Amino acid sequence: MKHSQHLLALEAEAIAIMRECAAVFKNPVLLYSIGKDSSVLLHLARKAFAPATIPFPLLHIDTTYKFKEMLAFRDHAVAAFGARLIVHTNTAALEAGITPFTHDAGTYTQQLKTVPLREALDRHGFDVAIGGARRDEERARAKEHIFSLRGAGHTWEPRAQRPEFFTLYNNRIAPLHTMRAFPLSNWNEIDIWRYIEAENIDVVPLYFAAKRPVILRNGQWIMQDDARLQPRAGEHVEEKLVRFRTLGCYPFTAAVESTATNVAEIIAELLTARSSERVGRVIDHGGSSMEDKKREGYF
Amino acid sequence: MPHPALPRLRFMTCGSVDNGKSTLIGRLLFDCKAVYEDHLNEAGKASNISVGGDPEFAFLVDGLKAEREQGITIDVAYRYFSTSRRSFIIADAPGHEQYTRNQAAAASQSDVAIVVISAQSGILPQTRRHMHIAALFGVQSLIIVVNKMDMAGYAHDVFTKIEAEITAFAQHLNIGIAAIIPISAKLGDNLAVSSPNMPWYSGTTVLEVLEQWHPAENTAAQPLYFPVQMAVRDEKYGRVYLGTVASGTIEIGMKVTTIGAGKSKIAQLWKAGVESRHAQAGDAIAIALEKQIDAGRGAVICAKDHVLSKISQVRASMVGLADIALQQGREYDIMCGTASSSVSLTKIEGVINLETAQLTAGATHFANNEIVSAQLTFTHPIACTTFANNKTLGAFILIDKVSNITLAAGVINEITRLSETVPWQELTITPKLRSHAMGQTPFVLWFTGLSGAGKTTIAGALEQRLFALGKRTYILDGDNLRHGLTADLSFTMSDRIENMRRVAHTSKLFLDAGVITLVSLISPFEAERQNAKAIIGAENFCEVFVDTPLDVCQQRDPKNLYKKVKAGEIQNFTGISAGYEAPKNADIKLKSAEFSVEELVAQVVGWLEMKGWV
Ligand SMILES: Nc1nc2c(ncn2[C@@H]2O[C@H](COP(=O)(O)OP(=O)(O)O)[C@@H](O)[C@H]2O)c(=O)[nH]1
Repeated sequence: MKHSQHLLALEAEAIAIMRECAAVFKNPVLLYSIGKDSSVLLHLARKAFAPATIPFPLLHIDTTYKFKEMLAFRDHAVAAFGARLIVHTNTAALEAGITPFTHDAGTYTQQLKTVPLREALDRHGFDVAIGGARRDEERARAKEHIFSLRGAGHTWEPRAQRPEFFTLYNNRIAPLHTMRAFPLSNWNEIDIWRYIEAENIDVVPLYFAAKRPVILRNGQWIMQDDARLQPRAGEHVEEKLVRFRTLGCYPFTAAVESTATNVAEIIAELLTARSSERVGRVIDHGGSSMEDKKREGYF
Repeated sequence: MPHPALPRLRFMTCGSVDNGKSTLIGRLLFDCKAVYEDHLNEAGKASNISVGGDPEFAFLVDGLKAEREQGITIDVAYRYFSTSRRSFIIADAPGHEQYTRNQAAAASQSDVAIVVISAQSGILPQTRRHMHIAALFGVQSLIIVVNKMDMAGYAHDVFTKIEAEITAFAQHLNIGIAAIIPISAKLGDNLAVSSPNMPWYSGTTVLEVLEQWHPAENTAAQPLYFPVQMAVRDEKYGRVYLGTVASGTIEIGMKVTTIGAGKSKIAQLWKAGVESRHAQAGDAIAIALEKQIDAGRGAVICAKDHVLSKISQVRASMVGLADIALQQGREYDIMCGTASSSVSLTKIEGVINLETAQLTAGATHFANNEIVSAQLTFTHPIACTTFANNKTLGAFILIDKVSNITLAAGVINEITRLSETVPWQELTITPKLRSHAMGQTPFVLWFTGLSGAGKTTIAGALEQRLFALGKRTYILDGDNLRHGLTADLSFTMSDRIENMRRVAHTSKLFLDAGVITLVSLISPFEAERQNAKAIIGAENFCEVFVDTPLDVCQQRDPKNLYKKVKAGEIQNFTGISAGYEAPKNADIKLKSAEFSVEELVAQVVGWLEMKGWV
């Protein structure tokens, strides 16, 4: 399928940013979260360095509450790219009994996502982490820089961020400082799907509508991916034709009712969508804002 | 919905505060159905007001929490939307004068700027400033909107008056106007839909202009510039060069080279990772060459007959981005294209007054939000060109060598010296031969400290000792040099920087001549002492900090200078009315208040012996 000029520009820009990471930093890593953005990111990483191989490893923070289909997809996809995958889990938090059912979203995210991410970055000495975040995902991200500076302890200081002129990225960092790089900054949800369609990129089947067991909780459809999620009083499990717009930890990721079973239908659906993709993220609506989470070192 | 045919358009909004920039963007997004319901609800919650059922549109484009609490936006926010015809990226920057730098950053990311002028207040100083910044930092075309027409009774004459004035001003700036449109951002008149309220206006809506705008066709064939971002090794193809084509076209079989390297031919080409025959400006490519040439990051690969030269001096316009002032004469790291080097800010020609476009000469430093015209001299020349010739290879940022902070961003207006015009003469008698003939290893001892600290006394005594050992020595004394080599310099910060630069280069010449050189110079700034070390070479350089408390220096006052300072006869005096940055990592520290001159000399000689230098 022929790419639009718009997609070509986005693709070239993302490749250039990825190459900049490899050219300037000593020890880059690509944060692989298994979702559609990660699939695109991985695809672009391969294109950026072809004919050579991807010169950095992938890192996946496993909370152990990801959808089963995601993990199966991860191992298959990573093998297909011949990339090295590092998986890290905060086992101490799991042993301390932190679960999405007993703790609030804030604590859960902090302990099973933010903390292990920081641990893994420190342990391997990664100086730049390449992520798939997009500026249009959430209002607070609209000002995120393409290269975002993190101080010692992965803190994010809005005032320390460097102005970005043209395509000139000041990537000098002091010891203990690191950076986050976002090659997909300028993409939006439809761009992602159009690119997936044009390049025929594999994504987790959960993005496509199918009959799935779900529970209606706080007005949102939560999928019963395994027995750890049980209906509460007054709730019951039912089969619904649903799909996911974003993927994360299953107890915190709501499904939307949909009949879109392929990429073209998803694009058609999105063109008439009236709510943003993050609506399905339970995490984003609990107490602290995305900005607060960023200050603590959440991606 | 069909794929949009035209390339995405990047645009910014500018204009004076409260003229309606945020409202315009919010309304445009709303009218293009680019606002999701949950975002609309959030904006409603944030604004706590909803005027006549409408949300306050400005809140749709609001950003960070801290900023919202202060009631201002202080960084560039990016917004995305598309219509059936085109995708758009909006760079939204705050309009206050203290955020000139953000405006400049947004301009560097935009093809087009929408200039918002309130029909009520007309053209304001900020309007002119923003138009000027847009023109300087790469915006190609302006869309002028006269906003709040609803508050001006949709009156035609209000519009025509502003239209005439703004057209005249834009001519000064050498930037084109795509359209001038009367609108109401709040009510949506002429924004996405034609307004019935202004029958006297028959032109297009803002959205139509945005959807149809395209850059002026450049029919002339552009030369190939391919700045190498990095090289990787591939088993099959050997060295593969990665980067984005900055200008022209490239294809398999093309004969290429880069300045200072041999010629070669493109053997293989990949466009976004896919094997291709040719590529053009904007494409992210990889190439393999038939014969390898010396081209690492920063090299610009060109067609063999059209090679980009290395440049050693330029005139540039730049904007200050941080609170740290940039000093005339000081060295900074520079990034330009994919190249990194070091430049000295040789001469600030003037601060640009953005309202009048006049240059005010006389500044020796500049900081945050000031825009200057200045001369930059490269320590190591790089391949670059003017911004007018190529946006990628004509734009740069300056970085502080110590803090890594981005201090300035700018564009090259003129090449004032090619590196080839003053070649370095290779001489047959080398520094090594000279030092061998003299029977010594030369080095530079750089004495720094306050006036009256004892630099000259200790250096003099040390020279006697070395001379007695049969060494060939010379003292460069700051006070003595002021009678000749540096007689034209005052004691302002920028002249002190220049003073240290000259003495550093002079020491380097003495070093090359094989002479052991003792420099006695207050040299108050860490950056310039580090620069001297770089010029002379760290392996031949020893920093000696004569560490004497200020009150001891004042008591000694050998030249009665401290008394004159007290009497108000001398300004800019180090330690009193000008700063002294004590060395952080001096090689030798001499406590002249605690030891005798003989003991101090012995300390230095001990260090030299330990190093094997004497
Ligand atoms: N009546 C009227 N008010 C407007 C219009 N555009 C903006 N405003 C109001 O002017 C004020 C400042 O607008 P805002 O967009 O925040 O200005 P900015 O500082 O340029 O972003 C707000 O109260 C808006 O509601 C307009 O076309 N008509």
